[in-house]
Amino acid sequence: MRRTTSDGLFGAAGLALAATVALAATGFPERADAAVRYLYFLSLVLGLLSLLLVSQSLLRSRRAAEKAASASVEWIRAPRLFLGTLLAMLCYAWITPHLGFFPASFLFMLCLGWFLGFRKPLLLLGGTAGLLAFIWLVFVRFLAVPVPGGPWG
Amino acid sequence: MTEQLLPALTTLLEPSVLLAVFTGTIGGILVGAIPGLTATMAVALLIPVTFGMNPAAGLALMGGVYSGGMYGGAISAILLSTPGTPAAAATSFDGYPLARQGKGGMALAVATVASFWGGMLSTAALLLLAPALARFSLRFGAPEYFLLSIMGLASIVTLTKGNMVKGLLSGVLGLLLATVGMDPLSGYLRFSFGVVELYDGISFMPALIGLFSVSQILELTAESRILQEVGADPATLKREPLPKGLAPTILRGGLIGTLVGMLPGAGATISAFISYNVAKQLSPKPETFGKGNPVGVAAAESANNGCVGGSLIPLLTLGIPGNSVAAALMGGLLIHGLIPGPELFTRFGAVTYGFILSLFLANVLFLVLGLTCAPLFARVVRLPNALLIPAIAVLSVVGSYAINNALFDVWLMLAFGATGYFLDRAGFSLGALVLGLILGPIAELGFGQSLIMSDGSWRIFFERPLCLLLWLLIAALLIPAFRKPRRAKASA
Repeated sequence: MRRTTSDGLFGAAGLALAATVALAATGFPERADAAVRYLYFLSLVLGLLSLLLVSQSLLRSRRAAEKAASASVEWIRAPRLFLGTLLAMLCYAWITPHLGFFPASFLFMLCLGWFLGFRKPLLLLGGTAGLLAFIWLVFVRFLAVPVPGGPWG
Repeated sequence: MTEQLLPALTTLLEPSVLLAVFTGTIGGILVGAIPGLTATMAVALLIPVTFGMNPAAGLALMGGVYSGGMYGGAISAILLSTPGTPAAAATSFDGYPLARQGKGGMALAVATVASFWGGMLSTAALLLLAPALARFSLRFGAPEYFLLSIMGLASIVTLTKGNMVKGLLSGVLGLLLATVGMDPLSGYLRFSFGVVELYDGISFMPALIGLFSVSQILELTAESRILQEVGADPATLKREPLPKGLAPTILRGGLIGTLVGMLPGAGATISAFISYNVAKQLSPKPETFGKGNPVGVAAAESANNGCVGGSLIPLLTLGIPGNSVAAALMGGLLIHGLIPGPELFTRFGAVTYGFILSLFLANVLFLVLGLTCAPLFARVVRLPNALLIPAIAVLSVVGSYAINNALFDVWLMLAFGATGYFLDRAGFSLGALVLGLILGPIAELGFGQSLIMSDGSWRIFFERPLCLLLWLLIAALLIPAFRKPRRAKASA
């Protein structure tokens, strides 16, 4: 996607958001008058800036001289690793309350490390165990920092 | 005061107090370096621990955690672009590019020295000028707080590297996100869509961890190592001499930190952003900021550690905590029967001055530890990303969960991380978004209260002398930023 197109789309989204916020603020009760005024102020600024972004993108897309500025946006540089990592983090967040923080973290670190191309099993295992032992010893035992609980830890 | 210093020094030199300072500082550095684990949390958790200790040792332990924690945030901000504390967010703007260039050790050394001098300066202000400065801080009312937040927002023009409109849009988006939850004045619920966890607003730490840490994890998937510069590894990771000419920046940062820190509710994050902004505006090479200029690291770090002493000024003299860590410290004072006020400096002078002196010692300790360990810490950037990414993700989960003991915050962190990644790719400024999120509640409260005070008249923002001074400072920060591109265009 060209940068001018992406800017135009973000600008349009900003305009829609500004209109939605201003519209929502009209429904606030009278006692929240200060909040309404503040939100009107913010949506006005957001709307104006979004309009400016849309105009910029329209102007730039017409100017041949500004081709450099309208170069393509590279959304994802390494799609397989990006999507795999994102999916692994979502699974990790989902599985943590079912397994408990420490077993879930152990599985997550081993699987993601391997998926990202680390092929030294002993080092991976040692690093994972070392970090989790550090978290347990320093944060959980010494500082009593809470971690998500579960049936296995 | 002088007659209290000798017994205070004797108290400080007791082995139990020295051990407390040492333990507290190391613990603080560890806590500060992990995103999401804040000095506030550590101090609050330590209050029951200190109950059985003598007051001097207990307070020294908490003071050590506060100082060490504020410094520790810089370590992960520089090496992983993941600020350990919100106050270190501005440190990452130049610290991380330096780490990628193989100058992580030097960046850490700059952060350590700047933090040390910022901390020493503010502790000296606490020791010598506390009562006078506390009276000054009381002159700040709602309109002044609103303008202070505007002054912080002026940093957006500095944080924006490319399109200024996108930078400003990011800041306004942050301000809008900060309106989610209960209206601070009327209690009306806004934009929470029935989600109970959003009633108090978007929890700031998960958002910060998501925007800086998770989006960075996703960015790193395309690279094998953080270190980018060819030939930078490993020779240049060794200790490098500190860059020259940092003294004025550090001094200015320490003063900004002390002054902003003593304003209740303002805090280390705003002062770091303001100091960074001022340093960039005054620099002869502002275009090097954000690309690895050590002056940026020094400005942010001296200001956030400058807040340590500053935030304790209104706490010890008036019983008004300058920020959340000072509020937790107040709990520690009260649990030992020390009521903030004049008696703290007379009847309990040995303990109070002992505590202040222990802050000096904590600064010296993290200076020694930081400078010794900087090259060691800097080796993190040599680790393969396949090992670093899972480790950062796990620590991010610990940090975001620990704030409210809620898994919702972990999901919130992931949502902010993914959104932040795409916003960053589209050229929006995550720093400006975070700044909007931080300053939103202060701006909204100041704005609303001011209009109530003035019966809806906007003139209140222009009538008070301190407001006029703040407007002048805002203009002084903004005008050069807008004049430079014009000058550049004209010369082209």
